[in-house]
Amino acid sequence: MTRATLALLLAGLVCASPARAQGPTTHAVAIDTTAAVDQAVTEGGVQSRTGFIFDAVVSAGLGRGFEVTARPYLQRLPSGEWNRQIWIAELRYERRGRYGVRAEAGLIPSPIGLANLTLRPAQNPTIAQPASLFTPLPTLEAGAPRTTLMGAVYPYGASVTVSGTRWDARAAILDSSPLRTRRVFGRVNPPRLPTVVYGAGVTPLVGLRVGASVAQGGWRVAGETPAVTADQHATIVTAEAEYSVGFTKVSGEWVRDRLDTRGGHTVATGWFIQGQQTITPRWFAAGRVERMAAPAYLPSTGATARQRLQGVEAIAGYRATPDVTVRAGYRTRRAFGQPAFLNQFTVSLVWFQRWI
Amino acid sequence: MRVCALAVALVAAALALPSGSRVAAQQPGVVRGRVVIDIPVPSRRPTSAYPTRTITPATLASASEVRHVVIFLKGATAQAAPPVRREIRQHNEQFIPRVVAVSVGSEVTFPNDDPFYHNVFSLSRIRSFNLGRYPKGQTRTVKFDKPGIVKVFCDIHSHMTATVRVFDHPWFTVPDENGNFELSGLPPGAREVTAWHERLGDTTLPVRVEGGRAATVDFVLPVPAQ
Repeated sequence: MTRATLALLLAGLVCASPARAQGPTTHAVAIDTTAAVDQAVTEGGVQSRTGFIFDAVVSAGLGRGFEVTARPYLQRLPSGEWNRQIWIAELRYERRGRYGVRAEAGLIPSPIGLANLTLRPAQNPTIAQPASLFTPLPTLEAGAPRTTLMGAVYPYGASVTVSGTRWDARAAILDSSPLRTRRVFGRVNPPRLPTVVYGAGVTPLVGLRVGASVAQGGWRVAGETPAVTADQHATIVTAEAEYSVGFTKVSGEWVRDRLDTRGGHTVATGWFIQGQQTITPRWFAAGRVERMAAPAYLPSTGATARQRLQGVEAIAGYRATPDVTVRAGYRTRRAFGQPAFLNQFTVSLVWFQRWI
Repeated sequence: MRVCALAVALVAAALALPSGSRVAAQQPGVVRGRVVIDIPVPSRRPTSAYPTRTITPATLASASEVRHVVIFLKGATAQAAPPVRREIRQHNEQFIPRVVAVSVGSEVTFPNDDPFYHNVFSLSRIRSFNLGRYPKGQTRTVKFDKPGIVKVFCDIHSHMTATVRVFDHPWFTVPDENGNFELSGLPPGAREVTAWHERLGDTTLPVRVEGGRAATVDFVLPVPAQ
């Protein structure tokens, strides 16, 4: 099913009709790519880690507001392994106007929260992504699978967004929990459990948007482990805000997960605030402060203790060309259950190229 | 004696006057013509892997592509030209017009017509700038003090691009919607006129500029294969 759907979407991309000779003045196909290399060195030079990300976004217009979009993704993990993904492979319909409508189906961009909209290295103001997307929470209870506060990738779903000048609203259904990362090419993936998402936002003035979303669905299926006898549900609530004017952009997000457990329920929370300041046409500064808190099951005692993650990142960026950006900065993070902060110097080179 | 002196003066004055052909030879000439673009030149498709939560109300409006051609005298020696003020609007997620040509010292304004932000910037060597984000109804102005090509982008919408061509002489123009153009005030002689398009490149044709007369040069872009 997965491969068949992907094949169908890719066939749509390939077969999209080219621009008519004397008709519309826009290309039928749009292609852009990002390549990013980043290096992190622990204070004192004890550890060094090199990351590499390459992705492409290909979209093709099918006419009447329809287009197919795909985002293949290749990442070199710190372990040296290569992570191949298809993060987006969707059919999108968009009708612009006073009341805009967008409908998406397939491997869709996440309808939850704000951080998921800056997943590409060229869009992320800092080098690291928010921890809420990728950093696993502690084990919530004995035998529980690891989750994230708000995952960054979802297998399949459909969403509808409507918006006016000062408001937007959306509804979506996903085929699995956003707390548990699925990989398209993964051999072992979490079970499929539908999740429903509602979200809305208001834009009282240009540059300021405040929004919120709620996602509800199963996160653990009955029988996944012998101790789980019924499907367990999770509710994810997010609130986000972004404000930009002139040379300044500030955004933030707060997330609260409520997960059913064998003993009742548990709660994990987190937030981040990030900002970017353009200093000159080429120089900019950016930073992020983030916190997360979650219960951790301690096998030694069988008890649960609340653990926290704290992180701060500050970078200076230089745009060598409109397509090439160099960033260097400092990151400090105290991971869940760790007594001390890990301090790192980081540098990153990002090349974004819009081809068509 | 007085009559004699007057006669000498008149003869001298008559000899000093140039003949009719000399006058014409020193008068500036004019080159008129028409530009035709023979292939479709589509603009970039607006799209995003991660679109914003709000759907922008803009719809793309097409403009005559010949409006994005710049005609200029090739190899012209630098000569001061009066500065002008041109405008590139940010309208429906497009720069309109996408190409402007100005003389050194001129200003280009960038009004935002859209009910959302743009962030106009350029990292070109001859003029780099970043105008930041500003809402509908506001404008920012950039002055261009060096000749060359300035590529302009929007930091928010990757499909938006524009070009400002800055000249250190007065012999340049942009065709009208029908492709018609006129270069006036040209120094007489054997000259070359170039039609430049951002994607089709330079097309140069020779022309004999004669004082007080109009020569015709028509461009078909791109140049048909031989």
